[in-house]
Amino acid sequence: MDEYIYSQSVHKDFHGIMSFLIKFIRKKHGARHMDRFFTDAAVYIYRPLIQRIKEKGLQEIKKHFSRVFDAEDGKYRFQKDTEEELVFRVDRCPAIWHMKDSGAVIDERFCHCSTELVNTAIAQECGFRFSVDYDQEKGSCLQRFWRPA
Amino acid sequence: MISANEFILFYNEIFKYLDSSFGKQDVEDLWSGIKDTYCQQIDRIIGQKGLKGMYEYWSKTLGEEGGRYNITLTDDEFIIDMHYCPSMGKLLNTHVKPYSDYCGHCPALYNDIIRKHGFEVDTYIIDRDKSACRMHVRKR
Repeated sequence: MDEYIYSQSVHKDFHGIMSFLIKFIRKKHGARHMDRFFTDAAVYIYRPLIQRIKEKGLQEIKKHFSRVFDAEDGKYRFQKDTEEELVFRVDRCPAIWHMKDSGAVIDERFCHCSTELVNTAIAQECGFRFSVDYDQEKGSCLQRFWRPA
Repeated sequence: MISANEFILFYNEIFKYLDSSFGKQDVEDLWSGIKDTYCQQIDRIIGQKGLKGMYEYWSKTLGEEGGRYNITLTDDEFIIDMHYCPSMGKLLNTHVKPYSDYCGHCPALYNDIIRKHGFEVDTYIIDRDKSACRMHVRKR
């Protein structure tokens, strides 16, 4: 990911508009376009991160998650951290809780798009697998990246 | 989670996706939906405080978003001279290609609301690739 954007101030209201983007494409154009958009956009947008993961491995995902969740005061921990597997537990998702606190409408497919589709696309590009078990209402999830046998 | 700092990149990409898949009108429908859903605060504050409300709103949001700009408020004018837009600035400093009418989202979100409250507004894109524009609001 390009370094510049992470040096900028954090405007958390953007999470609410992201939720609206998901709702718009889902309701107007259907799940097929929604899934295709987030998958293709993730591969394009995260190209620098994908390149770093290919070169240096899962530690680059760990660094990326630490940076973005720290910047937004998320509560998280890494439960497993090896070259073959990274398990990341989010206890308090800053996006979900900012939308809850600000009264924004959270689309029912928010976590599917912004975590499941995006991270699956990143993992696949790098030769890894990804799974997530999320509770959108609680703003918590368990994410797992691993290298297939 | 797509972080708040990464949002602008997805925002830009969805404009491209909708335009290439369904045409420009679909992008404008998206902007209209965002205006109706997320611009209630600015609608309310302009309705209550007029030009001073615009000053209050953009001082706060641009203060959070960053960029380089001057805001001018007089008794009958409100002007944003955007020297480096924080939104377009993010695109210009990454590998992503900006949507051809990325800057169009700004007047699409705000101009109808401003006019509704009795003001004239003009938006000038000075140089998209330098992230520079001007919004000029006047009492009618």
